[in-house]
Amino acid sequence: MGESSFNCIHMPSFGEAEVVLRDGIERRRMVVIVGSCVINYHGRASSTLTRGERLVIVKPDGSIQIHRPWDVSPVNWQPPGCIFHVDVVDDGLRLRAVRIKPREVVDVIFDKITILVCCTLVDEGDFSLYASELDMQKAIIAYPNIIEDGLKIISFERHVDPGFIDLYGLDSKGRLVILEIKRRVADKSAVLQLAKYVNEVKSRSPYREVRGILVAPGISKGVQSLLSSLGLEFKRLDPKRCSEILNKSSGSVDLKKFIQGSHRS
Amino acid sequence: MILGACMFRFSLSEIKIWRSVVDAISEIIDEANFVATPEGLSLRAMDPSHVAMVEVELPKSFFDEYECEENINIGVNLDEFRKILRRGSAKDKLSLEVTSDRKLKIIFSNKAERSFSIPLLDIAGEEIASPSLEFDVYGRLASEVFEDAIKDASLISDYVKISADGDVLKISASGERGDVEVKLSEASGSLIELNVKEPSSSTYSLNYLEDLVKASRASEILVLEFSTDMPLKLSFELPNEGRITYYLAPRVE
Repeated sequence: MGESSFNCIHMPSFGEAEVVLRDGIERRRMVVIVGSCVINYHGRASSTLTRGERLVIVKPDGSIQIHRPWDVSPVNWQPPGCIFHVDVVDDGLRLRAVRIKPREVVDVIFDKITILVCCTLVDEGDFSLYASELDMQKAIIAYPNIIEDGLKIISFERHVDPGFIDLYGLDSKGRLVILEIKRRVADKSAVLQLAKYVNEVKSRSPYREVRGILVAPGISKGVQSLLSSLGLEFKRLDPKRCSEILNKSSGSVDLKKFIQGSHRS
Repeated sequence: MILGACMFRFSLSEIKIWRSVVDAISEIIDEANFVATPEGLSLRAMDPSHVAMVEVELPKSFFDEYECEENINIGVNLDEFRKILRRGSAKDKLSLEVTSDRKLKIIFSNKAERSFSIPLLDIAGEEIASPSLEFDVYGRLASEVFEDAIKDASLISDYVKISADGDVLKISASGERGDVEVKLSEASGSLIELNVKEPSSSTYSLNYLEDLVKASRASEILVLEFSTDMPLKLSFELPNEGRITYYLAPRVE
């Protein structure tokens, strides 16, 4: 949030609030108002909520919600795309939100405003990588034999768009292995993604044997035959199983240490 | 060889015991490679994190009928296998057949005969040797007693200390919620037998132990062996000389 895009005023006069609020809504800021108000609603029906202290949120997309001091859900709300009017009226400051289709009007008439906040929030987070995909990746890197005995992982890449993880490894015969991890049942597009990467790698090293393995909890209909026809493989692996493996095994020694030859304790 | 000729076959009049063997294996691994020889059926596998190992030995005396001319590998996905086995009822006779076209046939016979057929998996696993370890502590007890002790400890912590000195075997755990200690001995009747060559103590993960003790459903008697900072060996005796053995790696700080 830049300094110039954050405004917070405490106990403004109605005149002051009118200017700041109108400006904030016109500039598509995130607006938060704490104050005492009456709410009139006209739509398919009409209603009035008498005076009370509430929290009002107007988002840059033109949605509005009014929260009472209890419960998770707002007592009144309108979806994005409302048209707003801000006016000083006899009873105080009126914020009007008009929805076109269906026609609904919500009037929030403040008799007192305690806090008025207008700010710009930047949120570019996205859900392209879930914890479960990362668990699958971690588990394979830590214990590559859950895919195949003798597999070694050499590097990994995380693609943000369209959102999947590649692991690169070498199998017991020295062949390059590309693993594509999916946390849900994989469909044909996952196969085509994998095929694309395998072909890219093959074109860069034409004399190298390259294997492509799709790793997912399952595959949908038709995927197995598509995989086979493209010379690709499938390995079933569940994200839940991976987080179990990661959690359970911390602290214990590798049992293999005790197997080589006879051992007298 | 005729396509579809039977290369391996066994039958059991009680599905329950087979189901509990398969359940016990699936606590450790997702795909199983059974090895069938003329002498019997066996399996040895480690879980992916190499902390636990399971060994199943079922000599041909374990089965009602057993036919195997040549050694073969029988690879199955345990999830699919269990789903099919659940379709059998307690009154059914269970038969398993492997045919030369690499299919596993699961047959339930009662009034009707219901036959499921799934392709065998080619699970090329590395050969694991059986650990040839000698232990300082040998205990024989009702599997239920051990299962209860593990459940008690699970309330308190993620790991458990198993120790033995003289004629007492102790299973203890401590955590934020408090402490728990279970004392077992021949004198109290909680142990059938205890041999302690040297006072020993070792810590193991309860997350694994909770899964391994489920094999108690298949067996009433358990043999427990361990030494300080060495793996724990749990041998569950099955009827007709069958056995399920688990090895669990110790936790070492």
